[in-house]
Amino acid sequence: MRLRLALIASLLAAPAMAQQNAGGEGLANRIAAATDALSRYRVFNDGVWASASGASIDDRRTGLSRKVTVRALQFGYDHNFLSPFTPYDALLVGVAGSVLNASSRADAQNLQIDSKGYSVTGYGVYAPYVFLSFPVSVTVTRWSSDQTRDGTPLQPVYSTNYKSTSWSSSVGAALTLPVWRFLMTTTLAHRYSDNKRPDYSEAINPLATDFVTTPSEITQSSQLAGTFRLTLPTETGRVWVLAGYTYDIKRSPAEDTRSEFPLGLGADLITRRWLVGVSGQAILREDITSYSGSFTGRLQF
Amino acid sequence: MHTWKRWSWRYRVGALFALALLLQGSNCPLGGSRTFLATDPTYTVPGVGEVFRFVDIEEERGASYVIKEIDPSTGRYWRIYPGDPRYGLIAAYFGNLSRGSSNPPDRSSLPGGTGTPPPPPVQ
Repeated sequence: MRLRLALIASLLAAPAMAQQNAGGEGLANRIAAATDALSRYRVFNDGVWASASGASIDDRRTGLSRKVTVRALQFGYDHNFLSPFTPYDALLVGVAGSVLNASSRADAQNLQIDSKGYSVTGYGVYAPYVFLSFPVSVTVTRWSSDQTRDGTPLQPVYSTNYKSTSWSSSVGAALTLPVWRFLMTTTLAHRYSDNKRPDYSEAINPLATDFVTTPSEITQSSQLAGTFRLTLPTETGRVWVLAGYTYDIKRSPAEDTRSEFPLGLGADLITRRWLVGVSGQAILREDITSYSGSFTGRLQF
Repeated sequence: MHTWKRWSWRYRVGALFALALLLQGSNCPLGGSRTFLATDPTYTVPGVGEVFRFVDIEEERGASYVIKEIDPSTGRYWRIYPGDPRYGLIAAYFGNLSRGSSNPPDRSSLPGGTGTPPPPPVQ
């Protein structure tokens, strides 16, 4: 009887005793690590967001002058993995879709292009440390365009429509350092954009029996962009300003100027579940100025 | 059915079981506070100080984004809930990752954004 009692007592007491020595015991550490891993994945790892944005491009180059406007409504979802590989890292992966509306008004030949488009974006950020991150994004857009331009007395307006596919991507590295009350983020990124317009035919007589064909054209840009962003976190969110320099590695069709200078500012209101932000940006380039603005709402759960 | 007699073997086993449960419960890591190890990384959040990056949920206060901050005098940490003036500072610090999708598109990806004008109209 005594032996049996001692056996039962030791079996019952062993786990409790093992955990009493939590400081150095392997088992307790393993349990703590497992609990830690579970709780790190538990809440606020998902977010959905919506963004309304607009951009206006004023191109004043001789013979190429035009005004271009774009409006976009974008929706996205992302998941934030805390410590996916190491105790220090974080990974964010997301997907977004948008509907777009663009118009281009060129002075030469009164060329007018009105386009509707939809796009899909995949994006991600891997941060091996909180201060170092590698953002990546790839977007594919499908455009459907209606085009008109001045014609001849026989056919006063030449008109046509076509579809085109665009790709945009961005790959970079960002370093964030706290400086006094600010967060200073320096980003170096490669940006690529293209659009493959197909060849198109325009009727040059009222009966539409004769046509003129314009060959297809690929417009593209490959840029190296360095930006410097200063963020001031506040008790209710943050405000930030941005300045940068972008260099054209390649642009087709070729342009004389290779440099442009982005400037931006924005503010975010952050609550437990919501982030509401506004931002504005201007890109200054010789003879070309772009302005853009966006309003974003994000819900985290 | 007979009543348990004090110090009978059943009584002793029962008492041991109850004691074991109590000891186990007092130290159970599930549902309790997590202990931070010296090797856990901390971050210097401007305007706040040393902070553990940690997200947690508590039944009595609902789902909340909780950060644990080290008290320099005792070495212990505490949670920062929404409503605390420092909460926004910490959330902004950890939420500062670039989302990678905020860049406006370049002209070259827009129809008519750039490119060669078509040849002049013909009669």
